Amino acid sequence: MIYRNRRPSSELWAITLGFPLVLIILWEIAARSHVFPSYMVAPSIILREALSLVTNGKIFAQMGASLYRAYAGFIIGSAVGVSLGLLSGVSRPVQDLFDTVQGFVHAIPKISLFPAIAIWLGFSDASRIIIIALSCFFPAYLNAMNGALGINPSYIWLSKNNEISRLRCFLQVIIPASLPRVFVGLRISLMVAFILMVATEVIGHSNGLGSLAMSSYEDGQYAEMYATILFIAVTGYFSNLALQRIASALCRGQQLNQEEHRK
Amino acid sequence: MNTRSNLVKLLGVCIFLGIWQGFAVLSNTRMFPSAVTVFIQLGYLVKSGVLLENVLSTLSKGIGGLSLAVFAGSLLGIVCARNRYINAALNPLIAVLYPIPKLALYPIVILIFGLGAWSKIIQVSLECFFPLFVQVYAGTRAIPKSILWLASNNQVKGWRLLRDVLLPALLPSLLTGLRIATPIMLIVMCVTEFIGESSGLGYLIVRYSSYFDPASALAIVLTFGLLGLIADRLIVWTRTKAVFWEKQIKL
Repeated sequence: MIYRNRRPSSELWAITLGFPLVLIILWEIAARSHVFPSYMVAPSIILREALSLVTNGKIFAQMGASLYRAYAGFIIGSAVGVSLGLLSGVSRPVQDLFDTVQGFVHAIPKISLFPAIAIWLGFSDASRIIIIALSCFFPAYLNAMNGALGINPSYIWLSKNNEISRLRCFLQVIIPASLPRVFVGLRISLMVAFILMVATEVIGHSNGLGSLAMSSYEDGQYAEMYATILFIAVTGYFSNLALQRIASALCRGQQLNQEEHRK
Repeated sequence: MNTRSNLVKLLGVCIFLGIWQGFAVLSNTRMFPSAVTVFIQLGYLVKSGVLLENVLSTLSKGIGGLSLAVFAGSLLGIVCARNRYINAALNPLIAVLYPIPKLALYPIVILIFGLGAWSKIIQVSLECFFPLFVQVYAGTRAIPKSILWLASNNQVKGWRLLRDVLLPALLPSLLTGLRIATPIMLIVMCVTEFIGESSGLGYLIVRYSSYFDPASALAIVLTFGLLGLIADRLIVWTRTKAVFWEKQIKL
């Protein structure tokens, strides 16, 4: 192994920022000089299209419809998943009750149920939200269960020594202690919710960002298609960021408490 | 205790199937098939050979995409973990792209590769690349320095370093990545076959649904579940066999 001198990290920052920039500039040049086929639209045109979608307000209605489905499914699925997961982590019979069914249903790609559910509910918001909620349930459930199972046992011994009731132990010890792991699950669930938001909108004609991207592809409006994809990326990115903020806000208190215990 | 826990597990399955059967009997329409009907339909599909043909069609594309993703993910993961300049260029870019649903790029992939098998293979590898890259990168980073020093002291370089030192050391994380990526592969295959395809399991689901034949559609859904379950068990089994020195770690 070669030992290099540690260079100042500012130089690495230049590479980090420069590399995507170079890629974008190369793309721009290739698109302008017609090296790329016409469907590889130049980044500047995509940005202009995105701006015009914002200024004429067309994007917000679609974004609202998409985010409503993604968040509704995410909240329903992960709320049920986290509560059942924490219960399974605490009680062995509950865990056993769900174990086999969960193991099998988890393996099914939930999106494959979509046409079947669409027979009953149509290609509607309801069937989309059901699919998203079903898919969000499993990461939330598994991580909440593992979080509750992996608690430092001394916390539980301590609460038993202090003769705290089981309900209070669950609410005040087990839930806060398994929170970091629960949020790992929620992050996966949120990502899954966005994937399925797009997937369910692409199938069966609807509104929303995914269907806007698909319909502008079908119409040959490539700039609009790229701009929509950009918006999907941006909403996904900021939703993830918001969740991380909430997680660090909620878990910070817990870590502070842990330090107090250590003193 | 163990028998009791098994009994409760059995009870869970029975409750699930019971609720399903009860709903189906009560609603009493063809639109809500009972568990028994679905299993009979599954048996019929297996016997007629329709199922096997389409399973092979789906799996050949899916595994093709997955192996492309494994190759690209391990290559870039190892390179990024070993070279800090490439790492500085690629790693933040990949971290930003990771949470974006790559399925939104499917129209572009269709434009470039057409509606045939290749667009599906590329889409699968696009979506599976990220978990594999992240796992391989973390695995290569976690290799103990002393092992690398021992290798460089013995002048082990290039191909031999890769084959004898790096690959065995990152095999556990590669398999973990594969375990995350396989269900994603099934999801992507399913969606891309919904959109434009004339064979494969996803296409069968859409076709049976449009025939208002939910029993057959659910039978295919069950097949997807079985495939996922088998693949998962297979990866776990491979891990216990191949990574025999890490017995105590539960995947």
